[in-house]
Amino acid sequence: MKTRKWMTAAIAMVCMVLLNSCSYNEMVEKDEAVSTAWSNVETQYQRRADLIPNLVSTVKGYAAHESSTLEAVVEARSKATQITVDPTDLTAEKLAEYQKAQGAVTSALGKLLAVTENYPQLRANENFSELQAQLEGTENRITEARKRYNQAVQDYNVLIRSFPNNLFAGMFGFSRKEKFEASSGAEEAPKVEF
Amino acid sequence: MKIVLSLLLFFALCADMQPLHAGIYTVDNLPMVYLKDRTKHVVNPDGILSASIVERMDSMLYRLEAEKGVQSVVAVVERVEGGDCYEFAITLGNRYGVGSRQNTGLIILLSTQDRCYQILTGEGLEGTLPDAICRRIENRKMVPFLKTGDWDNAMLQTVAAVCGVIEGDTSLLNTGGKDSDDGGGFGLVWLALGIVTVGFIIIPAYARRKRYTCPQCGHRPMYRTNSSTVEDRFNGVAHHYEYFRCPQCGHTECRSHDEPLDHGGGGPGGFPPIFGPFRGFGGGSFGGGSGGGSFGGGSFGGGGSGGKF
Repeated sequence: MKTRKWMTAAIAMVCMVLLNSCSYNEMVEKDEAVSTAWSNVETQYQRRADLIPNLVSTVKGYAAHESSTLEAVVEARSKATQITVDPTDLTAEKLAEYQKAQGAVTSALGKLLAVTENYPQLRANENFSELQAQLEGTENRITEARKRYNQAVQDYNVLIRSFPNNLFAGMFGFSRKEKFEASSGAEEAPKVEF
Repeated sequence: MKIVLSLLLFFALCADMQPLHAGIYTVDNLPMVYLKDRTKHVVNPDGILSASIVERMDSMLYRLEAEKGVQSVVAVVERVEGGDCYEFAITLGNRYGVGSRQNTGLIILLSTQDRCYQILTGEGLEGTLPDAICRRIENRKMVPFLKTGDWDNAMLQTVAAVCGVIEGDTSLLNTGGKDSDDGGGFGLVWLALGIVTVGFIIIPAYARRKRYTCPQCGHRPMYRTNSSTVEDRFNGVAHHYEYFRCPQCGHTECRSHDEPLDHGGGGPGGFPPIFGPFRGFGGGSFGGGSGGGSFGGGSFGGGGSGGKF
């Protein structure tokens, strides 16, 4: 009788491990998806940072005495590029810090583009127009990358927090990841009207 | 009676609502003509563009897909939901997965009453058609015409310019996406013909040849002298016996094979598999030039350029 009990327990254990090995692989998969989505977000922010020097020098040629606005952009950029987040260590604080720094760049850029409204010659410059298109495209890409990142995180979180995966996720080091917050008013993408 | 009346009233109201919303398109109710006819890329539900212009753009875009594998949707409508061309275009692109395996989808959208336009490039097309080039095309070929309300020329010039840029990129090739090319269809037809030929003509012929060759002296053909069938109802099997005699060496042989009794009268050698594939052909899954197209699951990351006029 006793052996039979042990047998049942053993079979149950084996079943659980077998069942869980599938979801373990799924967890790894989703974890990797989050990392990929995160690196895509960083790539797009980096792309924006790379566009800024060019933009600043173009604007400088037409609007030299807007130096304070220009400096604000350069400063925000240099601060933001210093912060990188390791996708394996996406804590709420780090994400908030990253988002705040990038938000500062967004709002500084918004101010700069608003100022350019006063310089018709600059606006008529084809080079500037194309640069602006690149910047807008990059803002769009950032929005899209953030959306995809949030979706990846949601898939991952749902997986590791649902039963019975939640019993094992912590054991294997899968912890809940943070999403991007919806952008607050200060960091709205620059709206440029023609 | 009351219910009938109220139902009638409801439907009448619905019918009345229809024209009100006809001008504002959502991603879901925009008619995707490409899905019905793969030669049609231009969506022109409000009749803003003239038919001849639509035809010219369709032929350009069809060639673009055949040669470069760039799947495109050009939409000209009066109004889009939300009044934001970018949002509409990217939702449309990602919803339908416009673009082939290389992810080279292209969407050009113009909303005449929202006064906005957007060129949206799939993630694989961003290198060929960077944002700045999109903006340049818009600035030079599109906006000047838009400002005078010349929708025909605005779209025609834009499509021509975009096609020109894409055709100039030699790295883009149609790699035989699932349905982007007639050549691919012909390839499939040849493959199917090959399978049919090997499966249903050569192999049976070979089997037949082997069957009628004398195992003793190799003379062909042996003659079938007699045959009989014994039904085993208990096991549900019919034993077929065939007797062969070689005219050269006089070797005789009895061959038997079993068949289930209750199969619906198909001959030996399995007829059902023959009809199986043919039914598949009948479905027209790779129809000719004017069959419906399907989008290849491309995705859009926000590349391209748009604006207001």
